[in-house]
Amino acid sequence: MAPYKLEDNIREKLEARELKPSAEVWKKLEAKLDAEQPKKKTLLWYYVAASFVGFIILASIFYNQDNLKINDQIVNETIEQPKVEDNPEIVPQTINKVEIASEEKKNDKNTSEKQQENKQMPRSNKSQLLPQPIGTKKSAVEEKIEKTDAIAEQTEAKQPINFEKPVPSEEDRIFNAKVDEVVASVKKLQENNTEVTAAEVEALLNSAHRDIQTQRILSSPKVDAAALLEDVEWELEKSFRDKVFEALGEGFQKVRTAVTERND
Amino acid sequence: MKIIPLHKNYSKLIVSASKGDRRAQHQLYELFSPKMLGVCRQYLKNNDLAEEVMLSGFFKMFTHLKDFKNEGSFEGWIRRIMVNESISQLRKDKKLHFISETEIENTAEHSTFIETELEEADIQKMIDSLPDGYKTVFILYAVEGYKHSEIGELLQINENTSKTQLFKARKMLQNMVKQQNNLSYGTL
Repeated sequence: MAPYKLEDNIREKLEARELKPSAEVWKKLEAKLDAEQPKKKTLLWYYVAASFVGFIILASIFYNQDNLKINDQIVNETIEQPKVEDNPEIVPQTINKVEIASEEKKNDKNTSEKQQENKQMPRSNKSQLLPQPIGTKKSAVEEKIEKTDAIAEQTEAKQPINFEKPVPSEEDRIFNAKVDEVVASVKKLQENNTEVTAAEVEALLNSAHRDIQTQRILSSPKVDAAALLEDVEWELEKSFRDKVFEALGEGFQKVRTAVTERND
Repeated sequence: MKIIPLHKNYSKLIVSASKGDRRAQHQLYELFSPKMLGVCRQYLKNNDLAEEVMLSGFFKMFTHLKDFKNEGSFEGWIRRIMVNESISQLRKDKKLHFISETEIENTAEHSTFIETELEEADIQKMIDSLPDGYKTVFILYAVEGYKHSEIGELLQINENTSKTQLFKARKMLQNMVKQQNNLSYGTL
């Protein structure tokens, strides 16, 4: 028998040795691994939950932003819609005024011929006209009244044509009434004062316009923010109206001078 | 015959087990646990303690399976884990006391020859009878193939202490074999 090297013998035997562990060992190991993994799982769940909450927060923020945007849009619409509604009202109005102005201008043309004849006459003959006899003055005033009546009639006659497209509403009625009122007041002034300045007429027209505006606001079933805004805008931007009224006033002046001069 | 398909499946099993696949883990356990219990048992006399240490070794192995690069042998990797686990257990139990003994000049290897092959049980008995310090160094050196420098590092002792420990362990084993031989001759 060949001798064995003790250490080789030990190594060979021990390296090859297999000892079957008891079945409990795997169960314990499994339990230990299970105990380890749920930690990770719960951590994962925490992450999932946290991200979900984060998502909800973000979503709500975005949703709210969308809502705000929608609200903005609604507000814009409410501003725009009344404008669309108001425009047909305003447009005929302005057209009406333009018509009045053009009417005046036509009158201007009629009178301009007469004025050309009396070119040497200065415009400030108002003061010269003042001391004139009442009788002649009255006739002049009557002429004026006739003229203004004619204008009023013309405007009134024009109105149905202007309002053919938009159906005449109560606002138009108010407007017409106001026009009549203005004309009447002008007549009254002329009767009382014998002298009506352009400024006075302008003031009358302005106040009448304001009345119409306020009545429109008041007559509307609900307080229209857009109309109020428009009102303020009107106060701020008078340029166009001013021009119209200036033209009106100027025309009236010319008519008056023409009439007085003809009487002269 | 059986080893080749097993080797092929290693990498797949390792990948699955590293992902927490319990079945793959169980398969790996079934493959390696008997050997690894043998490894642990070399250092630890108590069978239950050896099982416990093996269990914690497997647990560490599974939890660090992602760190395993398929560079070296997987078995070698698990084996190292088991050795380390066993040594830390011995250290925990304060069984590793290395008294710096007077240096033995001639630590050269003197192979001990035996007439009859020793059986597993006999070897284990002999090993178990060795003091823990001697035993650990002897197994690390003679069975696991560690160098003295590696043993010194692992057990936090200097190389010479490792050498003297080995020398003494050998002496003891030789005596044991002699005694056994005498006994066996005596009985004959």
